[in-house]
Amino acid sequence: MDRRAFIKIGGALTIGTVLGQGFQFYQAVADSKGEKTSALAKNKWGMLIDLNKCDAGCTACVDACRKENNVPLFGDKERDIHWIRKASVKQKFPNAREQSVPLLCNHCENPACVQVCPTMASFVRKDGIVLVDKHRCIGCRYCMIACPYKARSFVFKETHDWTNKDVPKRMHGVVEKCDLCVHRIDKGQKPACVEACANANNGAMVFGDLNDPESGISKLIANNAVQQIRADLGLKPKVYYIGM
Amino acid sequence: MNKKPLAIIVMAIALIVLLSPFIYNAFGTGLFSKVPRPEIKIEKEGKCVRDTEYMRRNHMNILLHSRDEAVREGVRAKDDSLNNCRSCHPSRGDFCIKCHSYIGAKPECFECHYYPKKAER
Ligand code: HEC
Ligand code: HEC
Ligand code: HEC
Repeated sequence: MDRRAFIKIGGALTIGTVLGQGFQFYQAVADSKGEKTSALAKNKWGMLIDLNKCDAGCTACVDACRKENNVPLFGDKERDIHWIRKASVKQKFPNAREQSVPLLCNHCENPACVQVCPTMASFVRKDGIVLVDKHRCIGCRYCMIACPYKARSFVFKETHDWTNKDVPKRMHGVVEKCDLCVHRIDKGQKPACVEACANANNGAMVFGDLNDPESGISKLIANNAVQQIRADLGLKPKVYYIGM
Repeated sequence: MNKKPLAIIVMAIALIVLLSPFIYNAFGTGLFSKVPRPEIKIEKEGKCVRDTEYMRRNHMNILLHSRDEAVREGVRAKDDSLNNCRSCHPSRGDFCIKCHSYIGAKPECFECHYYPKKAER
């Protein structure tokens, strides 16, 4: 065999191998024909919390979140997992009022947590929700250090309460945080905390599409003095507060 | 001294040893039929989300693919979700585990995903 023939045959074999693999891969992920829903890039989900309507003693949002997403409390401050928590904020001025502020992941447009994630487990979904892909997370906790809002928790322990069995529980060694109840959003529902807040007759939390100027949340933001927490950091958080 | 017959015998034995996997596969099922097979229980008659043959080989690819699509892109195919398997194969112990322990696969999914070993009624 001369050199030309050898190279020709070798090349053909290489191409054949590559194409064959590709074809196999294509077959392996043959798509399902059934029902499907999908996140859309035209949406940009955000939240608005009216602190004037938020009752300091009410924990409806926190409880609903724990129930919906099986978020456990161990009774151990250093280990507890929080997706949404209520902090009381006191101003230094004399006779300034004390406020109870629900804090959750701000789903920033420039999230610091996503930038530092070495495995791309933290990512921004097309509709602007910042998520942790728990299948990819290796538990390095860089994101927890990067997040200025302390919105993330590390899972130190196995948990056993499973109040909502359609939603996965957790496993030791991954980081997690509020996901705005993506599983509900994809079904066209609102996050559990927003629904609970409305049911508790407070209606302090509003969830909606920031890209749609006609949505309730966009109108409220346009017509009120809204604030974001640490907007100066430039992360463009998408949780807005009224009356802070 | 003529070592030719010895060499041929050695070569023949080596050939048989080398070909033993193929021989096993060609005639083995008859010869070694005592090898136990996993006895999986199909609780719901009908069809799987794809052909049975395809599922047997590719169910893990379907699950992993739909998992990435669902989590990363928000594309939720109802048929391919892990919760859907549970609706027809309600007992993991009689179905998934029977097969997996036979071949020694241990997918780490069920610490987080709800899939009881015994069917719930
Ligand atoms: C650390 C916990 C954890 C482990 C381990 C885990 N998952 Fe998940 N899985 C999740 C979370 C959280 C979601 C997101 C749920 C959602 O958005 O609805 C998810 C979503 C999914 C989905 C898409 C939603 C659905 O219900 O179909 C699939 C499919 C899936 N996982 C398959 C798997 C498979 C297969 C394994 C094992 C190889 C696995 N998961 C292991 C936590 C986990
Ligand atoms: C609509 C009901 C239904 C759903 C949903 C379903 N299956 Fe099945 N599955 C079946 C039936 C029925 C069979 C047996 C078909 C047969 O015997 O030809 C089967 C067979 C299988 C087999 C092959 C078993 C064998 O005989 O070797 C595997 C593997 C399997 N299913 C996995 C899954 C997985 C993984 C899911 C979730 C994505 C799933 N199935 C969802 C009904 C279902
Ligand atoms: C017909 C036998 C059979 C049945 C039934 C079966 N599996 Fe499997 N499963 C396999 C085989 C074979 C593999 C491949 C193992 C490997 O590649 O190492 C596998 C692999 C997997 C993997 C990937 C494991 C890994 O480590 O990457 C997942 C996830 C999985 N199966 C889920 C399921 C679930 C969920 C069910 C029950 C609904 C199920 N399987 C039922 C035979 C089966």
